[in-house]
Amino acid sequence: MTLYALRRLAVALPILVAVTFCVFALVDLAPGDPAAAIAGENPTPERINEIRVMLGLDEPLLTRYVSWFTAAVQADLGSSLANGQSVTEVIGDRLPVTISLVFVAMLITLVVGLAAGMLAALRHGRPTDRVITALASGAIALPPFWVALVLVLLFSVNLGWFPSIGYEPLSAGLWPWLSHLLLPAIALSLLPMAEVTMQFRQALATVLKLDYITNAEARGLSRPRVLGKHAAKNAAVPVTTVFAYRFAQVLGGTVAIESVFDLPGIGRLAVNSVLSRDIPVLLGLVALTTLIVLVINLLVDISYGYFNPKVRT
Amino acid sequence: MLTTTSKRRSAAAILAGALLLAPLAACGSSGSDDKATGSPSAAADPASFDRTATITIGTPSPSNILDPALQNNIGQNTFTFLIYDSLTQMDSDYQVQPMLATSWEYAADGSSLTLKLRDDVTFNDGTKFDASVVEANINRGKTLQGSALVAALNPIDKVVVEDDYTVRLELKKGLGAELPAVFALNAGMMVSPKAFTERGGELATDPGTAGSGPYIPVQVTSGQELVLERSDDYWNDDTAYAQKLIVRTVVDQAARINGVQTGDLDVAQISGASPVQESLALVDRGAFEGDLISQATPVVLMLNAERGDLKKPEIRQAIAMAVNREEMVEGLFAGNATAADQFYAEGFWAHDDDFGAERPFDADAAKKLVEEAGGAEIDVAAATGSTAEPVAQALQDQLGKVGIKVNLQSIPFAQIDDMYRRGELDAQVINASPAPDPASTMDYYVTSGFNAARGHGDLFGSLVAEAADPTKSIDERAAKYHEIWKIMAEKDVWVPILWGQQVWVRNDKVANVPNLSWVRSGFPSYRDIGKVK
Repeated sequence: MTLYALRRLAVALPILVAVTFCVFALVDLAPGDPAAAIAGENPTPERINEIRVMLGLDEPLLTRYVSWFTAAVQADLGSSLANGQSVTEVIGDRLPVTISLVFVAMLITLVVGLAAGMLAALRHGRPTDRVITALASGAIALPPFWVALVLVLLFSVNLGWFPSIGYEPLSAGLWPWLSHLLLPAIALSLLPMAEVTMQFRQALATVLKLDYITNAEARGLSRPRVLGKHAAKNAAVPVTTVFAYRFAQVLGGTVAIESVFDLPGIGRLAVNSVLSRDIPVLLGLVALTTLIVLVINLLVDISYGYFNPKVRT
Repeated sequence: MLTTTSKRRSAAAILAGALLLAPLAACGSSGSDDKATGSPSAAADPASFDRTATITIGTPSPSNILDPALQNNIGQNTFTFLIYDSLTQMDSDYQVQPMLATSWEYAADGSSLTLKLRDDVTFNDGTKFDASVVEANINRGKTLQGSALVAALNPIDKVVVEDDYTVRLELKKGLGAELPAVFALNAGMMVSPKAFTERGGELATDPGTAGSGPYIPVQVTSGQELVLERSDDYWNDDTAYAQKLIVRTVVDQAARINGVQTGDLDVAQISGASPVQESLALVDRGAFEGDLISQATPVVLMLNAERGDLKKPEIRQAIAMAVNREEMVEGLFAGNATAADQFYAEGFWAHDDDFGAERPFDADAAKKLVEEAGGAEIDVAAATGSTAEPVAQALQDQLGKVGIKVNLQSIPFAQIDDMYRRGELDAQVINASPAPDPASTMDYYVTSGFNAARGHGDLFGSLVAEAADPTKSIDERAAKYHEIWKIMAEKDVWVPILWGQQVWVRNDKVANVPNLSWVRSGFPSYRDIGKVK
């Protein structure tokens, strides 16, 4: 298993380098001058040039990238062009918000998605299955951004049950924390929840028809034991794939959803850093999100080994 | 709450007397459609304010840099106005008024500017304010690495402390007329020398007690939220009516509107044609109250006479004549805007009341000019998501009708101005920010910076220098600027289009929004905001 994990890690590292270099080059190719953007009102060309030199923007692209990457692997992501604050600190301030949001969204995805998928599989072909399938199909078609706006209007503005904007840390209490996250998490989780439902329904329904399940039931094993120990585990592989794929999408979805709910997470930070050409922050975010996605994919790959030992070889 | 436009107009009329005395907020709004909607009165008596109140404000600008010397955009003033006092401030007619400087006088030959200072001001860290503080701040602004004040303070050659409360600024020849007005912004904000000596770069993100202003920041979450508490020892009792201000950056307009509806925000600033209309509709439906404020920031089409078809004077003239301002005001802004024929709004001393529309809308004449020139094609840029973008789209339609093909360019805000300055764009629709003194505006937009006059040769002769002569009276200077505006209109250097309006949506307790200093710039000082008991 360790060798398998190391092999997967060896594949992940070049991806990290490639992604960060691409973003580095893209930002560099974009029109406009970051030095001018931070030089204040009506800067002189000399002043802009002074800032360019100060930021090392006069160096060749490759030199700057190597210098950035060398520092980044030592956890030094540089300083924000917006206010000189350390990028690690800027991202560190925002990361708990996004982690909380993604955590709640994925929790909803798993709990509701698996429960609905299992129910549909157990009632395969019956009205319950058809209703769940129809709802899941509908949920896939709804844009999260639109869902977010509807949720705000309904539950915040009209009913006043939840705050419409802002964030409270978990240290402020469970409900204050959760109340700020529930609506955005629901908006984010709708699509992955629907996909998990559909995938789990299909996989479980297929597994439930296999001979070994019939045999297990014939041996007198209880239905929950058959489902939990024998059927669900084998049906979990496609669900795990969808989960990992959708995790990256949920992380990306925070960019829009955090704006709607004014959540001060890394999604909103990414938008601000793009608009203000705060390149160090942008690169730090890209490196971090790439790393997170790679780690999740790695964990999923490793989980395949757990679910199906044949893939370890 | 008032539910119709006519009722809002009535309220404005009732409040007119009070607004005449108000600071910048209501400035120059003669003839404007500013509407104070709802209760309490926009000009509520400060005696009725709850001095223990907390007010949560939603603003689009992020509080990134709280050191005035390092601020790289005007939006930061919304935060720093609360923390720092400045040497001067602006009144309702954009006239410079005293703040930390009680008076100022230019030498007869314009070679120096002498400022007399208040003697009763102490910084929140206990440092006494005096002439040496002014000297230290100006020198810091001119020399600090990364300082954004180098250009603003450039006219000052040397600072001389004459006595504890008198400072003389020796000026470079022919420069410095704009300094009293410049000192009303971050260039004039005074930071405790003790703070910038001991804490250096920390000030940008955590200014603490470095200011002498009415509020002290107690919690700074960079780019997100600034929490301030009133300074109990502030020298001016007629401001800072709340105990605590929370200025929260909420970038999304819809989120700000929702925030006020749900009570997460007490007041929020809304701009742009559609959001303003939506907000006013919600005001009419009773969702919240609102103050509609005419902005002194014109939307202007800048034309680069060094590029493509814009090199041809007849094409620039055709563009100026093809712009149907009234159609935009009604069609795009549902009447919540005012057609602009010049850069400075009515009420400001550099505004020309007798300015004739040099290029009245005349589509037929414009079409003829374009046909004679054999057609034209230009690129028109606007910042992505800005209030200028819909105007650029409307321009594409209007110019298309006279035979000018317009290719729209949507460019991120952080890049577009720099690209125009470097001459990489044909034309740009901007939401311009006229400086408090037109000498700065000329420098920033016309003769350097945006360099609107590029490609026109020597348009102004000695006029620019004469208009910026500090020894001249305001009336004499105004006359010179009126000549400059006329030349710019005749040569189609730029095309002022309209002044937009912004609405401050709020709950029924928040008061004084139309009276806030700088509110017409879109970046108000919230020092005077209050909440009635």
